[in-house]
Amino acid sequence: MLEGSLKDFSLYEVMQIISLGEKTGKLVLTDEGNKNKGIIYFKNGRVKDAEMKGYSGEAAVINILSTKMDFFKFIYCSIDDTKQSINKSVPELIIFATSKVDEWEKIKEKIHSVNSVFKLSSEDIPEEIRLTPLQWRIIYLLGEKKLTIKEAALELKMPEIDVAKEVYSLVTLRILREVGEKDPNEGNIINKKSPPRNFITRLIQRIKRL
Amino acid sequence: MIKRYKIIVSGPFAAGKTTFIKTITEIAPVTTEAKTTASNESSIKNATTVAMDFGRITVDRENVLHIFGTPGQLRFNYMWGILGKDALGVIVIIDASAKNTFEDAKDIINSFRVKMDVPILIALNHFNGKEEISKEEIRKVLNLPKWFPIVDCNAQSKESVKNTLLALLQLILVKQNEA
Repeated sequence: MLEGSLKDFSLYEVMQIISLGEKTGKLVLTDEGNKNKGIIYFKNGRVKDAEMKGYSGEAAVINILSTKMDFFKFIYCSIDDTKQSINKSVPELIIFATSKVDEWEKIKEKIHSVNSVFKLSSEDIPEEIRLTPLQWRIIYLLGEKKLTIKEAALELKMPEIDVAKEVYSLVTLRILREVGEKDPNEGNIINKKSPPRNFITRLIQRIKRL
Repeated sequence: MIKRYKIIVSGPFAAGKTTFIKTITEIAPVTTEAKTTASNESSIKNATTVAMDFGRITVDRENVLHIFGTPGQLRFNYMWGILGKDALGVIVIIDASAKNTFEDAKDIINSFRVKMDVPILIALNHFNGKEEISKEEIRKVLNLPKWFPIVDCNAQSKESVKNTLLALLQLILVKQNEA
């Protein structure tokens, strides 16, 4: 059974795990005092319905995503009797939910600074995702033109926080990957902390000799 | 000052993680095993890792590689974040004959995929000669894309463990080149 604390995995991450695993069952979310409980139903990794505080469907998902939940438990079960009230894929729900995130602290979990630089991910995106024109523009500016969030905000004449929110969604879905930070004075890119290449090469030689 | 780098070895219960580390480490491995209590687990092995296994490979006087093995049961998932922090890469070991663990393997792999931006390699462990699944079959079972790397491995063979580590290191080099 997939269960744990939402301190270890965010709700978006848990939903992605279920989506990638194409799981069928219900995801039960509760808070510390068991005062709030929400359920999201999945069929083969796609969201089918949700329930919370008398709401169902997308209204319940919005309620769940805007409530501070503490624990998750995924229960494998048949949900054939559950009505299909939601027609959004998990990535679409994540984009929808993460676009509401407006705290820098939350955004910094995925993006280190407004000077961060990004790369288009080389991984397959598991599901078709409908992106907005603004998201496409941001992908172009960051992924192709190699602008930072700060530079893209200037180009788009938008507040940095609004660009950062969109980037947070795209990084959560692994469409963009943070690869480093641009020095605002020098303009050169400092790659994300990674082991020196010669260490890996020496390690390869060492293992071959073992 | 000695620089320490880290590789994570994960996988479902009884997949061969502790064996993998014991086979390659240059020090006596540090293991934190406890007697299994769940009836379905104790029929497979007597002890299981509850916190982590630990192995080491010294590269030179200044650089050391640490190999951390995670517990296989999902109820210990709070350890993953701690162990995975700043890791170079992850090897997920799956017992090729243990069909009952494939669903857990899927959860473990997908947890690392969403949590960490490092190369992940699947090592399909062949060590008991029972009816075993192939790499292509396990790819379908785990719903993994074609690009996802899977290698065959025998956690009891030093050469095989070396080759698995080398395959992961090549992936790390490729990822560094991409950045």
